[in-house]
Amino acid sequence: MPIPFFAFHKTKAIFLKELTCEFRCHYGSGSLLMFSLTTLAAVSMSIGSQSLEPEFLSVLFWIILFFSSMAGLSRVFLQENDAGTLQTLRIYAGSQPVFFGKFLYNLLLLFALTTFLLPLFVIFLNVSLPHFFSLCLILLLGDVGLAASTTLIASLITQAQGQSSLFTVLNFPIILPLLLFCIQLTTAAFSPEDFVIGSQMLFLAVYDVIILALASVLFDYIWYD
Amino acid sequence: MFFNVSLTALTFGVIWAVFYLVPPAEGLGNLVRIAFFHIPTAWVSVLAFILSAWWSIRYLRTRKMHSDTLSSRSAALGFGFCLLATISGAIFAKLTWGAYWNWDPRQITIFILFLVYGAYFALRSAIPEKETRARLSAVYSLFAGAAMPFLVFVIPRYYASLHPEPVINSGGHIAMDPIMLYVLLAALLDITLIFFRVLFQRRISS
Amino acid sequence: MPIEIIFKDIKKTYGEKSLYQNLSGCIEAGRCTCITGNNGSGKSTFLKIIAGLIHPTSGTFTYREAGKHCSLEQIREQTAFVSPEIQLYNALSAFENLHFFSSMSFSSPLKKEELRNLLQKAGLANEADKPLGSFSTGMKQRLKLALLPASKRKLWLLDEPSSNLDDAGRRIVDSLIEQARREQRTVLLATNVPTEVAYADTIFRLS
Repeated sequence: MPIPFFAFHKTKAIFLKELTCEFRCHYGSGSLLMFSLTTLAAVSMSIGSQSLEPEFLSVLFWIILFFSSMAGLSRVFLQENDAGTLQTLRIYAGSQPVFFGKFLYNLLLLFALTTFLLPLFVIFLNVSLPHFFSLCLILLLGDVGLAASTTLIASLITQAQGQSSLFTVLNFPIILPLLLFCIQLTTAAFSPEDFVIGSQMLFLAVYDVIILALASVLFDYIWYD
Repeated sequence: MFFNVSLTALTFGVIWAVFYLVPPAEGLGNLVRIAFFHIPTAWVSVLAFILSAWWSIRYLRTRKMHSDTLSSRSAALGFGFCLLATISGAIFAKLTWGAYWNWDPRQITIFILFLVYGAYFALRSAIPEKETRARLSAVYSLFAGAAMPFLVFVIPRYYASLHPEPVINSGGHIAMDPIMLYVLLAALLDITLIFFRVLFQRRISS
Repeated sequence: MPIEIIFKDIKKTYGEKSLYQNLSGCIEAGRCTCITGNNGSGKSTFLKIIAGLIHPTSGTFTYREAGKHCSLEQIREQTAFVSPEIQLYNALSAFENLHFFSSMSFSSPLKKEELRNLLQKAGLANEADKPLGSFSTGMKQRLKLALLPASKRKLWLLDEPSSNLDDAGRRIVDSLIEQARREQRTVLLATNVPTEVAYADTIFRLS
C-alpha cells in the first residue's frame, strides 16, 4: 500500500476538487452549520440566564459537535456514490490519495464547524475561556480523530443498505473513547483552575494516530473488492 | 463424544467445587462465588473478540468464507458471554455496593464492547452479498479493535474504580487462598472449553 | 510497452447465478480484442474483473508488460475505463473534469493547451467551460472518451463506447481505436454492436 507522500499531488487534487464542488453546490456544509446552530440555540433558550457547570458545558459542546458530524460528514462518499462518480474515482484515482484527500476535506469542514460553534457557544451560554490555547489544542485533536473515523466509515457504508442510521451506529463505539477524553479535557479547560497538559492529551494524540493509521491501512480493503 | 462427556463432568465438578470446596472470602463472604462465574465469562468474551479479529485478518488475507463464518460465530458467542459477564457483574455490584450500574470504568469498557458488537451485527445484516459482507465486517471489526486496548488499559487510569483489582493489572490476587486459585483456574478452563465446543460444533455441516 | 493479459479458468458466480465457468484465453498486447455476447452474459463484469474492480470467484489472471510480470496495483494505475456506469462530475466543467482526471495519472497534469486540444478533437471545444450538468448524454460520452488519451494509460477497457453517440461521435471512437493501435495500447472492447465488433483483431464470445 503506497505511502501518500509520493502521490501528494493526487491527494491535493482530490482535496481541491471536493472544495470546488462544495463551493458550487453547498451539498453538506450548510446543513452541518444549521444543525449545530439550531441545537445550540434551543439549549440556550431553555436555560435562560442560568450558568452551567464546566462539565455540562463540555458535554454539550461535544454532543453538538458529534451529532453535527453524524449529520454532515458522510457526504464525501455517499454523494459520490449516488452520482455514480465513485467508480470513476476508483479507476482513475487509486486508493490512498482518495482517502487522505477526503479525510483532509472532512477535517477542514470540522475545523470550520468548530470555529463557527465556539464563539456562538461563548456568546449564547456565557462561557469563559481561561485556557484558550489548550482548548484549541484539544479541539484540534478531537477533530482529527472524528474526521479519520467518519471518513473511513463513510466509505464502508456506500456498499451497505440503510446508510444514514448505520453511519452513526458504526461510528459511535470508535469515537466514544475519543469523546470521553475530550470531554474530560474540555471540562478542565473551561474550569478556572490551572490546566496541565498531561498524559491525557498524549493518549488523545496517540489514539488519533492509531485511528488514522488503521483507517489508512484498512481503506484499501473497503475501496477495492 | 468422549469430549462432551468429560466436559460435562468437568462442569459439574467445577460447580460443586465453587459451592462446597471454596471457603468464604475475607470481606466479600459467600458473594465471592459469583466471581467464579463472572471472571471466566469476562475472560472468554475478550478471547472471543480477539479470535474474531484474528479470523477477520485471515479472511482478508485468504478470502476463504470459512474464516468469515468462524469470525462471525466467535463474535456472536462473545456477545453472549459478554452479556453473562455483565449480568453477573451487575448482580455482584448490587449485592456488594448497592447499585447495579454506576459507570465504573470496567462497565464503560463492557458497554462500549456491546456497542461494537451491536454495530458489527447491524452492519452484517445490512449487506446481502456474502463476500462483500465478509470483507466489510472484517474491516469494521479490525477498526473497532483499535479502540480495545485503550478501553481496557487506559480509561481505568483516569476514572476512579470500585472494581476489585483485575488479575491482569497487578498481583492483587496472588495472595488468594490456594484452593480458590485452583478452582478459579478450573472454572476458566471449563468455560473456555465450553466456548470452543460450541464454536466448532457445526463445523462439518455448515 | 504494451500490456498482455492471460486468464485461466475464470469463474464468476453471484449467489446461485453463474456467469461463466472455465473461461480461458489471452488478450494480446497492443491489439484490440472484443468480448461479445447476449445481454446478461457478463461482458461488463468481465471488464471490471480485468480492471481489478471485482474478484473472480476462482481462476487466475497474469498481467505482463514486455515479458515482465505486473502486479494488480500496477495494472490499476495503467487502466482507463469507459462505460455507461462511469459518471463524471456534474459540478465541474468539461475542462476541469479532464484536468482533474488527467492529473491522477502523472506527477504534473497535461498542459492547458493539450487539454483544450483534446476537447477540440472530442468536439467539445465550445462547451469546454460549461458545467457538465448541462451536457447531454452524448456529450458526456464524448468527454468520457476524451479521458482515454488524456490519461495516457496503456490498457483501455471500453464498454459500449458508441452508446448515445451520433455519427460524428462514432467517428471519434474510430479514430481513438486507430490511435490506440498506433500507440500500441491494449484495447478490450465489450459490445454487441456489429460496427464496434468490426474494430477487433480477436473476438471472444460469451454464452
